[in-house]
Amino acid sequence: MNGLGIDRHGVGGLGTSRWLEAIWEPGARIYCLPGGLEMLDISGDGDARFIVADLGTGAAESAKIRVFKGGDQITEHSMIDPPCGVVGFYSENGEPQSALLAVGAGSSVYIYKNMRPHFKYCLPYMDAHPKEREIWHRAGLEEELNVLSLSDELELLLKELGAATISPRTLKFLGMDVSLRFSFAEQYRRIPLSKANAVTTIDTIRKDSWNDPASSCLLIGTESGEILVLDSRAFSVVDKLPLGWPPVSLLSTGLWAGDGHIIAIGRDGKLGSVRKGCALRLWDKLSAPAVALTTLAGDNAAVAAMDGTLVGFSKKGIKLWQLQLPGIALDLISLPVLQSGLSLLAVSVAGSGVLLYDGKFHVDSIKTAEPISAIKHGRMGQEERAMAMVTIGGGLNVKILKRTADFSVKASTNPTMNSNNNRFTIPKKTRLFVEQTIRERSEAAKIHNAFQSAFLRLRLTVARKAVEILATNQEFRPNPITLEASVLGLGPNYLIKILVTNISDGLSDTELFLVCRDENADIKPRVIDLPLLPSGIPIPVSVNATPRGKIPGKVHIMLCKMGKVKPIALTTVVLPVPEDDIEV
Amino acid sequence: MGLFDRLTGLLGLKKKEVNVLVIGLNNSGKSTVINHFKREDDRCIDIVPTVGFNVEKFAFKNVGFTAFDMSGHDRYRSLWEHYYKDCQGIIFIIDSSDKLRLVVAKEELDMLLQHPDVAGRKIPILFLANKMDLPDSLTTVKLASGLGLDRIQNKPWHIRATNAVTGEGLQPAIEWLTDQIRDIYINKR
Repeated sequence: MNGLGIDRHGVGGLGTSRWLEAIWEPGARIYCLPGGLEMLDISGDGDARFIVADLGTGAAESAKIRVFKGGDQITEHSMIDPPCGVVGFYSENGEPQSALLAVGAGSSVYIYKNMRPHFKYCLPYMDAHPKEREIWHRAGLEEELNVLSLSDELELLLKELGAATISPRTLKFLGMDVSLRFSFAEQYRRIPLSKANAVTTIDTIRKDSWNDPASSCLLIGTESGEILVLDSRAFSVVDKLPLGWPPVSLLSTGLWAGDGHIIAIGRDGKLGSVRKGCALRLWDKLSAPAVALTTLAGDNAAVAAMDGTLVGFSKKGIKLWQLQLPGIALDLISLPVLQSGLSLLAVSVAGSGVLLYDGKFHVDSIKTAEPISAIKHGRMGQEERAMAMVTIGGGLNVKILKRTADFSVKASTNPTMNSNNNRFTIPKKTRLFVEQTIRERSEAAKIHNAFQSAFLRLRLTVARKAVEILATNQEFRPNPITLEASVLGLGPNYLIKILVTNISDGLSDTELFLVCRDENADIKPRVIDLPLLPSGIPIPVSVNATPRGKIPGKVHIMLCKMGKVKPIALTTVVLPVPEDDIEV
Repeated sequence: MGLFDRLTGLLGLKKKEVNVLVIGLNNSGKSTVINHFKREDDRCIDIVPTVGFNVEKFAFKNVGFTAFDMSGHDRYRSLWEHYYKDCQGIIFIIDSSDKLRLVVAKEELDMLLQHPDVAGRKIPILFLANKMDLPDSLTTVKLASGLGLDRIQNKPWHIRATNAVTGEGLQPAIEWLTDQIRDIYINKR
């Protein structure tokens, strides 16, 4: 009925548990999955309500949104389609009255203000498969509809493509009794074929402020493999982030106006992050489909998978750690502990209740009578540290974290350990140590020689490496000297004119020289020392070149510096094939 | 002056000064209750969430009260214990419509009762079941059992349903506290 059942925790003593049992309603009949719980101050009066996206129990009860105050339900709102997620957000910065609730269901997002319908955003239709469209288009053009051939064609198409890519119209047509197909096809064949999109998941990202409450953009994951970013005021699409696969869970970090990015998980366990204006960066592919995705201490992310693993990822997508849970994971949330600045992970495990982890270290467990199917931590009523848990059987359990709860297990045990063990423990001489000492004494010269030779070898390797690095060392400095070369003359004696210009502001380096090289020509002089080059004045240098044969040669002209192996600049000129001397 | 002082003291005419601690969870109405005890012309119109604590003075039945109106926000609840030592009475205010946080109130009360500065002393504790006008408020009987008040052995305690906005129930409650403080601290000497 209410929170009066607390006395069973023993009268008098402060319990050893870190949690206070506030509400236990075994008969709340909530049927809910991860992502279907929200805590939001819907009317802005400072009293946060607990909102449940109840999927209903099959045919008997339809899906609905239920609003709880404490353990008592205050309103419920029927839904046509089962909701895939519920999320609360604010449309204005610093105005708690602007709280809105968004529910993703079917192909629409329903937005409630003060629990009254406020807006409905419908996803745009997807294009049907071209082959399917073609079949229906042809059926629409026919004078007399041939139902049998239409059915055959669609049957074939269904076998070819599979039901996932076929539009609902075809599926319904093929699922009908043969006698009813004609009237159905007659009714719809002239209407253009369309295929509805579906919302797969819903989340928010902070727009431009870190203060609370802050306006957020809605993130909608769609079956067509996109994330739509919706403005919080006009509910218009601000951005489309293509993923290529439908996301099942989203997580946002940072500000949308800043460097915020969105982490998405696909049905097959694909995990990646996407940012405004950037393509998807695939992080990893999980071994099993994901159960839930949540933030982990700052901007990192933690994922619980169906095979009972809990994986921590850094914000860059690097796997930080992975641990095996004692059972199947059912939900995962992050649990910030404000008083100690910790950010814990609460993971519901079938058979073990709820386990709390600080990173990969297990710090606390909450035993529950039934497995927990969904958890939500946040502000409930006036309480900021409430954790609501919905059991598989539909019960609602709310626990409140004690103000004095201390999760620093490691920190509290270590100092006491040290104070007890003041004396250093000196290890006894082991047999190995004694044997080593005897060997050292008897074979001193041999050990010394072995060490010396190894040491010399090490020095040689280091020296070789150093030479290698020096030889291949490249100057990344911009080269301030340009070379221009031109070939003058008709041959076979050519004159190569080289203009050396210092384009920097100051004087050039000293000890520069030019080297001209060609395997098929005699060049005189091969090496020319350059004077100090003043800024901006081209210095002409002339070289004589005579090709040795009738092969056109390339002359490499290299600008080098004394003591450097690599040339500073290089240019090539081609010596043309000389004409035969004409005897006059 | 000395003779006159002693004379008025003997006759119980002189105003005695006592410290009382006003505690309770946030949004339970502590500042509103204290506001009601103050003189008409001192009262504030707007009550905002207290940060840290406020010190208010008021007099009742010839006893001068210095009330430490502590903030009930969980961030400031750790301040409460520093004032346990020097107080002669405690007013513990509960929002009787907040069923969810009754366990939190009980936890804070248990910590208060087990604190070394409180556990061994005979301090009167006045419980005010505030917001009695709200439709879903708990009765004092339910609150007393929910908080486990029957466990309090060595201290006089009293619970009363109040409405701090209209002032309903406050007068008899403070009367009880004044009488208890007078019995324990003033008439003892």
